[in-house]
Amino acid sequence: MLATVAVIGLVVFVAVVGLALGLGPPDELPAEPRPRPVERPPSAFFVAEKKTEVQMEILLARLEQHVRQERAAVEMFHDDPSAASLRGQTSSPLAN
Amino acid sequence: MRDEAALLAGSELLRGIDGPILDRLTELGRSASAPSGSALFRLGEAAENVYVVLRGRVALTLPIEIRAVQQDVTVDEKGPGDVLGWSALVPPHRATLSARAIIDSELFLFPAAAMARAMRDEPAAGLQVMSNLASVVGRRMHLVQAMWLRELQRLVATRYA
Repeated sequence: MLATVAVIGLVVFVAVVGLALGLGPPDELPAEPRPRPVERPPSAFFVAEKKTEVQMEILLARLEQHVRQERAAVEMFHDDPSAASLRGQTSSPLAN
Repeated sequence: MRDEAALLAGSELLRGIDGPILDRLTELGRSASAPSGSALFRLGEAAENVYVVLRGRVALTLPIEIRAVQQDVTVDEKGPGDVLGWSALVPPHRATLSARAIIDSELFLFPAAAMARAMRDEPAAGLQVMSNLASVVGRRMHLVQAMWLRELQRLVATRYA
């Protein structure tokens, strides 16, 4: 009786240890090899490109804002032409 | 349709013209949709049509070079009732700006050659159209001249302060 319990205990122990070590049943398909990480160029390259792109967008937006403000200023000159209205200031950072 | 006729009658191009002559001129053209982002014409292209904006908004752009990259900068915007593409009626009939719909827009398109023929046949209407265009062109010239002088003034302040 004691021997039977010992044998069953040993079998259970071996099964638990086998599972813990990742040993599957013999008919289990082998796991697909993990994809190797794709080699990428240094991330600084992409950071620099994105930064330039953003700077360009900001610069373009600033230019177009400048044009709008200048246009508004000269429309006042068009309606009431004078040396003073020609020199009216705007808040454009490109003009100050 | 009635809205379109009213908008054309009050537009920068056709204001001051009414009755059968207005009908004749509008029969020369047709409305066309311009989805957001679509190009109406590009700088340097042969200008063949004059446009009146019926709905939406159109950007007029010029190329500017920033750090060796060419970018289009919006220099003017046009909305309902405004005319654009008038280079089609004025030699050398080449577009001096590019035009692009900023949002989904609708335009009324006049083929310039047909319009020129109609204006020859109806000189009074032709005079009115060309007078309207002179106002548009003159205003543009005054604004650009003033903007140029303001830039020149800044250049003087920078270089000769």
